[in-house]
Amino acid sequence: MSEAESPIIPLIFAGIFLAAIMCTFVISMVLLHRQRQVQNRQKLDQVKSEYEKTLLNIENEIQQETLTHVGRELHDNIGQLLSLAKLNFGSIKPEKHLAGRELLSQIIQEVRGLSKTLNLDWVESITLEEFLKQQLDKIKSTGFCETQLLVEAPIENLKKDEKLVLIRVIQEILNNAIKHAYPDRIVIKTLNSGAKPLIIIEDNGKGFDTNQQSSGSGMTNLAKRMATIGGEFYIKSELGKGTLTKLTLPK
Amino acid sequence: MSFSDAFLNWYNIVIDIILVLGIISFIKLPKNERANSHYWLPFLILVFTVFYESTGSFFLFSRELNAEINAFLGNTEHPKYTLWVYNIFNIYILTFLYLFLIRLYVTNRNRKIINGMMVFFFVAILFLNYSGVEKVYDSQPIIFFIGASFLIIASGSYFIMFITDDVYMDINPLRLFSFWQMTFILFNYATVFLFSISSKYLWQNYYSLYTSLTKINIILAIITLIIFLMTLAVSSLNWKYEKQPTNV
Repeated sequence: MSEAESPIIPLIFAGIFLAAIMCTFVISMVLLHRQRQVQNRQKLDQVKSEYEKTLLNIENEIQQETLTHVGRELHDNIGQLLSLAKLNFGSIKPEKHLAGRELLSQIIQEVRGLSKTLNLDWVESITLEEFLKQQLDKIKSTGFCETQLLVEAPIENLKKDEKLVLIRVIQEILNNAIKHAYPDRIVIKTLNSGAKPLIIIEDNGKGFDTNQQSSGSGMTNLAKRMATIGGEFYIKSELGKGTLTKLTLPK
Repeated sequence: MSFSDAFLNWYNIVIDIILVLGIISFIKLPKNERANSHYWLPFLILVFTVFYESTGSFFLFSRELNAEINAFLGNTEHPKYTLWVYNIFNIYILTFLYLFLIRLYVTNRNRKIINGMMVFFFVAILFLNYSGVEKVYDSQPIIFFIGASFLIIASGSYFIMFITDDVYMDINPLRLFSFWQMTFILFNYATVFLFSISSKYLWQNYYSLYTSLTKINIILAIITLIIFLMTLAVSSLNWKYEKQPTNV
């Protein structure tokens, strides 16, 4: 075989050409894959930062509410008890001194109770059902409306942050019901829907047109807050037919 | 053809060595990995490829038996042809095995498409053979075209999924064996495909290029087998590699 007919040179050229195409292909795939990994990492960072921001907002809101509550308690409750104690200790009668001591003990109890609300450790110590019961009892005690808590499946294994977000969302829903719906009855149910914990908050108040409310930030904000903990927010309401809110929690 | 010409050529020797190493590597795999289709299917492809290549060589050597089989298939005109071995084992069965392999690595939606491809390919084989459009002992360009196209599309769909689906997000592709398997299957069939279209023209006008491309196809086929061997051997070699995601 002559030099010109030798298959070695075309073999080398064809081989190099094919190898070059393959290398380009593999490098392109790896680069595209890496680019996607970077984009995904940026997206995750963004979600994480939004989550942290939401948590910070919620903590601020709870602290603000706590301070308002502490201020009110100091003025309306402890302040009054201290004035009463002062009057009792100012008296020369021994039984008044005794009543004064009892008042002091009560004041100490009240101050201890208040101090516990100043940090967020109570979130960890309380179960979600206990929190719901507290909230409903508080509403009932004001005589505003009847309340009921139905626990079909207890909600367990919530992290502190998740519980914090959920507590704030529930408080907001109950506040909205009291402020705007004027219901006769509020019912909260906890159950499991397809292995996902679910909280249903239902009132028989005046309801509202959900299409009009969708432009407002309240509902969007609640939905966003639920999304930060991997949950879902669903609201159904009609004028005159009350409101039903479903909070689906992550598994 | 003598026995040594048929069996003791460099291609047969190389693939036989790959087979022996493949069997040793497969035996050395832990029991649970041997039962995993990500390992036994590449092993099956490796064994099957060497088996049919040896079968082809055997029928080059055993002319009488080959002539009898050709006659049984209706070919009395060219009793030396061993194309029926290539058609049945390479074009039909190996295409199915590769499609099964690609099917393992893709998501449900693409899996359904590959299932459809396999059904269509099976029907096409039966129809084209029984209708006499293509004969099993002769060259079968239509069946080859359908099979190779499906393999190129299926392996292409793996790469599209690879850069779009979250399943492969945290994986380093260079350390993932399915990535290399698909790369070589895609390039192997793409070159065979292009080569088969242009082979007659190249053979008549550029014979040296024709022989070069034939060798390149053989080399690509060997590299594909080496990738399958590496898939089986890598855990015994203690190399760093990515395990195939199980949630595909």
